[in-house]
Amino acid sequence: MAAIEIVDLVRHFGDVKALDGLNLEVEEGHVHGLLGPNGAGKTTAVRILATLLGPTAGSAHVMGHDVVADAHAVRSVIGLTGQSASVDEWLTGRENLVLLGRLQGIDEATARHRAGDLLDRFDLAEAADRPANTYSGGMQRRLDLAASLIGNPPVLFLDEPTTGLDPRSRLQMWSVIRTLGVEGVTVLLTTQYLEEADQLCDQIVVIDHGRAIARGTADELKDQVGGQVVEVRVHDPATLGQVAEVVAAVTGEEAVTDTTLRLVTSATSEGLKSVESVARRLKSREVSVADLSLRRPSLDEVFLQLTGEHIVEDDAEEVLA
Amino acid sequence: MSARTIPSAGVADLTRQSFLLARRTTINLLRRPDVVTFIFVQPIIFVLLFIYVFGGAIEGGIGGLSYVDFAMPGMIVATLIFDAPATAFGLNEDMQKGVLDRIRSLPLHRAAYLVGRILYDSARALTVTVIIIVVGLLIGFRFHGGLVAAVGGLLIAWLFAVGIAWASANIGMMVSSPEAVQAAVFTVIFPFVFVSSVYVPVESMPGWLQAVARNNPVSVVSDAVRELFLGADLAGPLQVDGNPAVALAWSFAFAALFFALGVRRFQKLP
Repeated sequence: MAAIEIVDLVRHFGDVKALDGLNLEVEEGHVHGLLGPNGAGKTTAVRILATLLGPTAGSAHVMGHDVVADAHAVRSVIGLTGQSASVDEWLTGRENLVLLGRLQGIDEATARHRAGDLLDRFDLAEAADRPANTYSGGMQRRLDLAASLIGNPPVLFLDEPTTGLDPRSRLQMWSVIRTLGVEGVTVLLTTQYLEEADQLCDQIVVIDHGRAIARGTADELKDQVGGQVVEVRVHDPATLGQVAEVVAAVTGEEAVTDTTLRLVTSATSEGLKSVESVARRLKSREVSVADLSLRRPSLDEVFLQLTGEHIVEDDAEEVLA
Repeated sequence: MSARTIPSAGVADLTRQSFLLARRTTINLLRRPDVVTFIFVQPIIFVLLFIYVFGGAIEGGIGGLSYVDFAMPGMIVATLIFDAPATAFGLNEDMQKGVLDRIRSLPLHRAAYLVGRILYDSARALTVTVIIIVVGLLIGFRFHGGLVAAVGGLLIAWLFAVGIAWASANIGMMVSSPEAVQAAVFTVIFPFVFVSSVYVPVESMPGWLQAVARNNPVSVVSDAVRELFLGADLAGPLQVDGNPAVALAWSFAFAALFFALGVRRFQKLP
């Protein structure tokens, strides 16, 4: 049985088709990524699965329970961590977890025990008895994730769990999410960060305008673009034009120049052979090269290939700024 | 996957869950001493303002009664109504912060969150009532109708506050932000409180307004409380037409209607 099964799911908001026939199946124990830009329908899909929103058409099941007809049963097998930390800021970390445990029918002693475990595990033990409003953004997110785990749900929805976090907090969050996958929790994770999907997910569905446009493992998606990418970084920006010319001549594909990174990239189906040719020609022209490499395409390039648009990572810029 | 028991959401669950949630909201309040102070000082200020500013203008009291004896019963009702937006604010805050998303994704009784919210608000209303009574007694207010009638009057005022809190909860779920709560609640509250027998006798109003004021539930409740506080001997000459049964009916009607609407709305929050 699939842990999550979505069939032809449609959700309209007035004229806006947030979901336009989404199909998705997540195996039990998998970490599944829902990758797409802002407004692609990721959050709508999660809200429907978490019984917060009704679908316009189509169906969704979690652990075999229908999200509309059997919402109560669905709620008893899921945990949800939304885009913003939804913990009580005046309660301590521990109080937040114990409260949510007891609400779900866990007795006080067990709830305290589990809360202690989760706080240890998420590196919050030291701050456990401080009000949550003294926590940093990363700590609040980890507490929020712990809160969604206090009832031991077999299925967990993480809606953009690292959006807005600084790089260090993001890495901490990733390591926590990895442990969940190892423990056999089924995780559906939405993200607009390609690296995040690549790092955490067994399976990825790329969605755009409310429909799946590609699916597979990160490797399979990269294969869809076909071949590999040859990449040349130079010391002197003045030589970029020359390099682009050489690379394009060798690969027979368009060579993309990035002046800021002093980088020329191009797809290639010839692998090492093209690297060899590029190296030989650049050497004969006496162009000084900082780095010459062959790599697989990034998920951003996959997305570009599929949609003709880049995934906008504006939040990442916010964090860096 | 281990077998999980799905907690049935019966009345026992509703009770347990709503008390846990009421406790949570109470702790959230008590950790903010500044908010606590203002919540309980504001009603005191209101009572003192009305008694000393308006009371002075009404020479010799009303119908032989001192103004404080006339106004206290209605003032209790009014203060509780002015406190009602807190329900809408608190609920809207939980909605904005995503707390409601988490609560709604848990296997709780469908009314647990709202009942918990109202439990907290009821306790708060009771505290406010006691504070005003103490302040009233200090500035000369007396119960003239005996202890049982006094307790009955307080109970009626408090039950009405609970009914209003349910209405307020609905407003909290309907509007988009705490600022909108402010606007919505006060637009509704002010006419109800002022076009009533709370501060002045209905007879002092223009004729066309008297009919409105007399049938305003705020007047009905205020008059019922007034009659119970003053006793028949004092209330009679004032022509206070208090009817505790009608007042109670209003409170229960408010609570029942807005409970039903509220739970429905809670399920369908976007």
